[in-house]
Amino acid sequence: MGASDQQVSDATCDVAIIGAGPSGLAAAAVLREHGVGVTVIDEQPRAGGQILRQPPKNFSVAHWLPAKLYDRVKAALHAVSEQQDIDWRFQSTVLGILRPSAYRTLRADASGAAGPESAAVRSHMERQTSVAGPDQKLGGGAHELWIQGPSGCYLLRANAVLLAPGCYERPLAFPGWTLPGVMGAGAIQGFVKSQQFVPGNRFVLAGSHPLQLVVADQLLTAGAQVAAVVFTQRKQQALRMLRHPFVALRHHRQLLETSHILRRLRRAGVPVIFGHTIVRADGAHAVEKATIAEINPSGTIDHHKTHVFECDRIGVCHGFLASSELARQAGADMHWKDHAGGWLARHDDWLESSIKNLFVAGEITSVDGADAALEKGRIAAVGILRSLGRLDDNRARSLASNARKRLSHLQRFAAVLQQLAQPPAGLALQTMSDDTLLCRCESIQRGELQRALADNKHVLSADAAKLLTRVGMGLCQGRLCGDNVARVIADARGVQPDEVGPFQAQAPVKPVPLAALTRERITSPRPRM
Amino acid sequence: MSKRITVGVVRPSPVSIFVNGKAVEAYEGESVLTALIAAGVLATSRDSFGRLRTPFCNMGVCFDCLVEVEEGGRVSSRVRACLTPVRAGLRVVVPEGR
Amino acid sequence: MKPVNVVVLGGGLVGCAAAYYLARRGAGVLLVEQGDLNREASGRNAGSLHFQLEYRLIRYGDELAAQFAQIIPLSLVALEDWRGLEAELRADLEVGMHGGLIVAESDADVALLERRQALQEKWGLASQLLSAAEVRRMAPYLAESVIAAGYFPHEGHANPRLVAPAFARRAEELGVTIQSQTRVTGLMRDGAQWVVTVVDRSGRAREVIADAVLNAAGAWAGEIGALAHLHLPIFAVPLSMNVIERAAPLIPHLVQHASQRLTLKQVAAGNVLVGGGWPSRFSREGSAMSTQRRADPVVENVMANLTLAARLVPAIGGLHLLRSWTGITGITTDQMPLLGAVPEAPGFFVAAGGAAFTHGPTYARLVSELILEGRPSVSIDLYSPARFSHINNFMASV
Ligand SMILES: Cc1cc2nc3c(=O)[nH]c(=O)nc-3n(C[C@H](O)[C@H](O)[C@H](O)COP(=O)(O)OP(=O)(O)OC[C@H]3O[C@@H](n4cnc5c(N)ncnc54)[C@H](O)[C@@H]3O)c2cc1C
Ligand SMILES: Cc1cc2nc3c(=O)[nH]c(=O)nc-3n(C[C@H](O)[C@H](O)[C@H](O)COP(=O)(O)OP(=O)(O)OC[C@H]3O[C@@H](n4cnc5c(N)ncnc54)[C@H](O)[C@@H]3O)c2cc1C
Ligand code: FES
Repeated sequence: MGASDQQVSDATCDVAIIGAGPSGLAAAAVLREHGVGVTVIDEQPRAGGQILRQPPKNFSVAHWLPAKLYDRVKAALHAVSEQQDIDWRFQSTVLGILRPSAYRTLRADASGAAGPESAAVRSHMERQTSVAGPDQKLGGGAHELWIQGPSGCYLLRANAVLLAPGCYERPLAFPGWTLPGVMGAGAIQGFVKSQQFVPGNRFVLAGSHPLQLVVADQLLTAGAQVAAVVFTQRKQQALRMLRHPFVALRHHRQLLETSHILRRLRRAGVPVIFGHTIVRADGAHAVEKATIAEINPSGTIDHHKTHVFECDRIGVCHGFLASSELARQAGADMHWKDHAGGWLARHDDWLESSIKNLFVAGEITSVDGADAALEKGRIAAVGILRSLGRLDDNRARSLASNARKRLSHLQRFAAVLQQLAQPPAGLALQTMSDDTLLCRCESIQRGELQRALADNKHVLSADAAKLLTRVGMGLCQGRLCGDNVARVIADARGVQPDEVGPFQAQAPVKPVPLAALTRERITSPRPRM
Repeated sequence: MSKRITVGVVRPSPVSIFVNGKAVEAYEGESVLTALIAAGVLATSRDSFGRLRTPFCNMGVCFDCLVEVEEGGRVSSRVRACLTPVRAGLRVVVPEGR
Repeated sequence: MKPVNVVVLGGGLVGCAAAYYLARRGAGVLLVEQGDLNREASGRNAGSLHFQLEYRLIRYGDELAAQFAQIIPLSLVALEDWRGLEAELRADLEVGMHGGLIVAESDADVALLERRQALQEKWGLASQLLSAAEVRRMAPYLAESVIAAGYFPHEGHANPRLVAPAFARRAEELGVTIQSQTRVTGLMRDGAQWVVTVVDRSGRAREVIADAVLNAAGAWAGEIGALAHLHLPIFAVPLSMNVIERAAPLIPHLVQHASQRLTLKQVAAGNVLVGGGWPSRFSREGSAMSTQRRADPVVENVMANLTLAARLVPAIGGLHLLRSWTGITGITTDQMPLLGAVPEAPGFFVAAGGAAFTHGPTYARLVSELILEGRPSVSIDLYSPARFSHINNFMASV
């Protein structure tokens, strides 16, 4: 079923996969081979996830992502993306993972639900809910997804759910970071690889993650100017890690690719600067220049040793945070691992989370990269088949064993990369000045939070700080400030960020237009500010 | 200036969308955000202090790209420009001025 | 540190405010909160300051409504308390008392408004019944479907985020010790004193001796009662709340519906809060409902609540629902507050139940007067736990 004409599905949803990235796609392939009904839900218009953001269907692109490092994920994409027996639901956001309840009809007492609107809501919900047949086991383990699709909200019941929502970029807050023209490096890359569009003229890339080399290279190829690529790491440190025998032997392909890129950048005259961090962005109405400063060996920024680059775009690249909101909202056990993506879902051998039949795969279990995401998706799919009784334990083990082997190799490389790519400890606290916007949505400055913490000694958690100051209360629901807020609180209280906790995640995990919830035609424009 | 990559890329024929009433050339299927930036618009909304908000993530996370979109004479609620494909005749409202 | 005269159990609005009022009268106070301050009902509620009879009080027939209307005298005291609160606490609490409208969309709704009006008048609360035209003039943002409204000019809202923390800050200035992330696990009477067992975050237990304990544990007041071998008939109920993204100032009033579950208001930051008592769901723990975990939202209720809101205030229809959350509040068997001393357990006081955002500061003030002076400045006999003596008579140890 196509995405745009997706209206009503009366198919039984055996397994719902949230996220059509490498791990979701790899899982879909395995499940499909075993004859299990698969529904794949993704916010994006097409499959591929972040690494393979596809160009629009009606574009034709001659050499899309030619580099070898995309080969495996591309193969996984092509294996399933045209399969019609998968129920693809694009441009659809999962707002929550809920426990199905017996209490599923609106109570039509005089108290509230009476009236034609609620009847409309109800009948709509009934139509859109895939009701499992009588032979299906619905109790313990089934889940209900709250979905905002192109034509409104509905619930979808699934016997098992694979949560593979990937990650997003870890933002660094610094003076000027809300100026038009400052974006994530991956955001810039998304324009290039999917939109076939160079979203600016002259770019500075700054951060700690090697992805920025790839982005710089892609920008150059697309004809953009790259003013500089700035790494927080010192050069020696980076080289030492890359020369780690394990990495050098097993992952020579990646290393080779990196050295090719470095050579191309050098040839194009792009300075690659180590041991520096972005400290501010300036411009009258949009970015005009980027200031970087040296990080001295003790890890502190030396604001006297700066360079200024003229540019109209800055891409920041400090690694990734797992998209942990749905897992947290569902109540899955989480743990915090700073360099592996922050809050991650705990899981067993089969990638089942602490909640029955809620499986997790891809970056949500640890930001290990796209190839690892593929293997996790495969293992989770076998785990689901086993949990649904489609495979016995022995068969499941043998089916998953190759994927497990490959995954353990990939994870050893990932662990090295994670260490290498981690911004220096305390960087975020150093780049934010007192009046830097910590929370972009609610315009809360770092100093405001700090003063509130000083005045209210009992505020120990991110949630308590949110309640007091509004940090994290805006449209991004804390995705862009949560990590930095936790660091500020942890610093003030002398604890670790995980003791401060993430903001509580609640359904809906993303804002929803009221129109999609109420299903009433909106006739008046929104009240203006 | 930003620019669309043309080497090796075949797009459908261009269509018009309207940004604050002004016709702008765009391609069906590309994101509204791409069309806006290509037209020189980086500021997609304003915060409570009247400051311009500007897209950060290009993947549906930051909600800084929320724009009001009108199609077929109907004001729909605001959408994330980075996730919304262009269709011919779309009318988009973004903040004017600085 | 002063010797502890009173241990306050629970760090919501009632507990923080009581700690403040007790300390202001010179008592040595320890406040114990199992989580963080203001993180339960007091920080998660709708912030309505409602002095008219809420829908939950009027919907069960005339006889019960007449009984529930006994809350009004306390509401009138609360109204005066709120007027002075920002000055008293030297804090901006975003108190706005610009009037409350209970809107009617049908003849049956109007009839309900009339009955409410009569009851309110009887107890001294002077509200008005507005015609459709008057509503339109006063509240042009309301939909055409509104044909009348009950209006009380002093209703409004304050920001739940700010009130309990402001009390806590002032209480600390007066010497109150606040221990958050510390749980009460035992309550024993030892002669004229109470031995309170508390366990801190690291699992360390200790005992505190006090002359009196104040149970301000909200929905959990029954559990605290049980620690002291008492029955307090208060039930935890899970509700849901929604907040809509910021908009230009549009709605100065507190808006409620005559016969449906709805409260709606626009807060200082411009966000519109939508609630009205729509249930969420407790998760299960074995055969019991878990009140120790956040309740789960019920999607249909969220949708119905917002559908109703967008129907009454069409201008919000183009906005986004920013967040929904759930909160747990305590309702007593007879909907009246539990406020005062438990006669069977000398030195054990309760302040819980009811609409204790609106009434919380008043509960706290009056119960602290009772604790320290033996009688409050306004009678609270109507709400005394003594009305459940027929139960606790069998529970008392002496
Ligand atoms: C901006 C960006 C660029 C990246 N570029 C590269 C790169 O070039 N090379 C590389 O090796 N790695 C890159 N990464 C890392 C990359 O994400 C992974 O290695 C790989 O894509 C992870 O696969 P995944 O399946 O775990 O998740 P993803 O590929 O991220 O897929 C997750 C999918 O879930 C969807 N989703 C999430 N939440 C919801 C929801 N609530 N409802 C509906 N759908 C939802 C998303 O739209 C997404 O399509 C990038 C990451 C980001 C954030
Ligand atoms: C969604 C919702 C909307 C509401 N809307 C309104 C409204 O608009 N207007 C209004 O007037 N009222 C409203 N209410 C009711 C109002 O919020 C409550 O009556 C009021 O906040 C109760 O305050 P409290 O201090 O008694 O309880 P709480 O704020 O719940 O505080 C009790 C505290 O006791 C702590 N505690 C429990 N057990 C222990 C233990 N063993 N040891 C230590 N600490 C413990 C808890 O952690 C909690 O922090 C609403 C309630 C909800 C849930
Ligand atoms: S740019 Fe962040 S949501 Fe669109």
